[in-house]
Amino acid sequence: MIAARIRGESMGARIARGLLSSPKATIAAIICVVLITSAILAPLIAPQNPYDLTEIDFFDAKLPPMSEGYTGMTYLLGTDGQGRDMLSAMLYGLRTSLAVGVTAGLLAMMVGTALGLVAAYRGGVIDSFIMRFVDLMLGFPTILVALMILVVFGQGVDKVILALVFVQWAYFARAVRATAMVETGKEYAEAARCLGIPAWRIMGGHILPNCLPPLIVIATIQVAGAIAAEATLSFLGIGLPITEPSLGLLIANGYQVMLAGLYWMSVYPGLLLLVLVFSVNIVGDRLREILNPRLAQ
Amino acid sequence: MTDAQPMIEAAGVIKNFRRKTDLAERIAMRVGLAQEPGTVHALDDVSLSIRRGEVVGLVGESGCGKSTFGRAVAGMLPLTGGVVRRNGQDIAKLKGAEARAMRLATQIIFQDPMSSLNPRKKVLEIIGEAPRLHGLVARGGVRNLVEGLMDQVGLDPAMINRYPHQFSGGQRQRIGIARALAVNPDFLICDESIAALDVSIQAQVINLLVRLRQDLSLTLLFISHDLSVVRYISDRVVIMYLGRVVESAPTDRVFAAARHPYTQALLEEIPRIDRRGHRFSSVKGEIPSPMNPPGGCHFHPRCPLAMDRCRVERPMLKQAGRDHAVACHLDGGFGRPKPTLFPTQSTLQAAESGLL
Ligand SMILES: Nc1ncnc2c1ncn2[C@@H]1O[C@H](COP(=O)(O)OP(=O)(O)O)[C@@H](O)[C@H]1O
Ligand code: SF4
Ligand SMILES: [Mg+2]
Repeated sequence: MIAARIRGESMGARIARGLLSSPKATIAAIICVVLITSAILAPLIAPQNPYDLTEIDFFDAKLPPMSEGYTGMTYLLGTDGQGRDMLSAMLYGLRTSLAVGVTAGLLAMMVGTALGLVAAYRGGVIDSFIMRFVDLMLGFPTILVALMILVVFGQGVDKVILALVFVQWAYFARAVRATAMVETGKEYAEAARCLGIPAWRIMGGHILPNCLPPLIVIATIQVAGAIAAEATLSFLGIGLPITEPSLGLLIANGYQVMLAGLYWMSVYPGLLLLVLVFSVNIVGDRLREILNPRLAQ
Repeated sequence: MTDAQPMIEAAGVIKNFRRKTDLAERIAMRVGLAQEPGTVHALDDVSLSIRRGEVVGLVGESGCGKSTFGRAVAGMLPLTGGVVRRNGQDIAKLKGAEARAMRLATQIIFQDPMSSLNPRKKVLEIIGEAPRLHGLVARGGVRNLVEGLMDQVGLDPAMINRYPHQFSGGQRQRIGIARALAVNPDFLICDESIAALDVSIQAQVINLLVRLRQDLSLTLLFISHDLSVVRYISDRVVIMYLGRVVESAPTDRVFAAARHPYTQALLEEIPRIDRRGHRFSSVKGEIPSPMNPPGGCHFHPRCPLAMDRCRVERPMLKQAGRDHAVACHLDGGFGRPKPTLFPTQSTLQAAESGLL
């Protein structure tokens, strides 16, 4: 990191170089990019719109992978119980999973970062209060807390995001506080105070930019966590509504008929989820290595 | 402004630091499982005045409270006791615009040329942010102002868009000085501002400070752990030991006729030939912890002349000549008149040749 600073390399360049220097991380990053692009382009690249009933033919229900359907279309990954193309359903499910995971992760990042910064900068009672709450949050099993919130507030995309933000902000707060404490103690922060720069501006304009490296790492890993948590909630039938099936819900739906030999309805969405969460985590781990000055060579 | 009123006046300043305890620790203390955390007496009744235009050198071993005093005078720390006045006004009582004006009028030049500059900001932003924010310069004039300041501190204005890591230690220290000057202060606190630099660079930065002091009629509090460094810049030297002022005198007088045994020991420790060979820590004995300072005169465990009285009674600062104050029980409270302590080769030679 010091070496990179001396070379005057930007953080973006450092991340790119760090990712490319590890074959595993490079593959994971490529997979992430491909998956995110397909999710965004799902309506354009999916063979059918799986939620447009006029495009679905019930006679094509439960076809195994590679079957040619009644309509003459080849279902690469088979169809589900309603005759829906699994590949299309998965692309749309991926879209939902990613949207929910990224939205929840970013919101949790905003909330957690703000609280972590304030805790570190203000210190004292405010710090103790916020950090007690963080410890409390981190002490509970994520899924249990999320389940409780959904039981209380009911289902829906917004409620799922709320639940995920609620269980994830504390990770950001803890990480940001730790770095911000170090930065706040540095002389440049004191110089800024001495120059009469307002507290919010010192926190946001001076300290926060220096907290970005750990923040990027936590954000990546927490997005993966949010996607997995949402899938779990949906699998348990308490997450997203049936009208916007995510990968978790697809797995749940297929699971019911898995023992009847119709494995593809559940296994393919499961694999996709696994590959997604795995790739994001590998990228996150690599980012941790690149951006952590203590691990840097 | 009359000469009688000092520009800066610290009166009986006390600053204690208590280590923060968390809830678990407080409970443990309540049930007797943990000890009360110690209180650090960083400043123990410090009084010091600085006249307008004066350069005061503040010297003492590391941890004796020099930085804390600097922060207190700058109004950056809530005091445990005492007051700091600027032009006769208690700075803690100022509000609104007056408080801001006072805040800007005193600036600190920090020690670490690396961590005192935000690594993610360009020189333009580092120097230009405060004057722009406080409306000291018109929107379009920031670049001009920063270029002028860079020129003034000996930096090439063409480097205005560079980041701190692209500069050398001495250049970074110049950026720190320009940043402070950008808000038009009349009082600068240099807290070990050259301690982290190469010797060759140290002289350049000191010369710059001397020049700026003249050009801008600045008042300076020059903090250093090294007596030999303050000699060339200070009008007056104040020696601190464990949170207390032990001696204060015009610079020449400190070097010629110091009266406190601690000051005399420091003078003996300045190596005559190779000035950089030794550090203060070689004054006999360890510096005691400010958490648990010795009673009476703080210096008594290390003072070869300590008397019984020194162990129980605190010596107060006493005038021992014009502009010369000392806190020592010797010689009726005027300290030891001659530096005959800790005889070294040089003092012995000096004594032989009849110089002392
Ligand atoms: N913010 C703080 N919290 C607790 N103790 C402090 C703090 N700042 C300084 N101290 C303590 O106060 C004493 C004086 O410190 P300082 O003023 O930095 O000394 P110096 O600048 O002379 O080396 C030291 O013992 C130091 O540990
Ligand atoms: S008061 Fe006593 S112990 Fe302190 S310096 Fe003077 S002689 Fe030494
Ligand atoms: Mg210091």
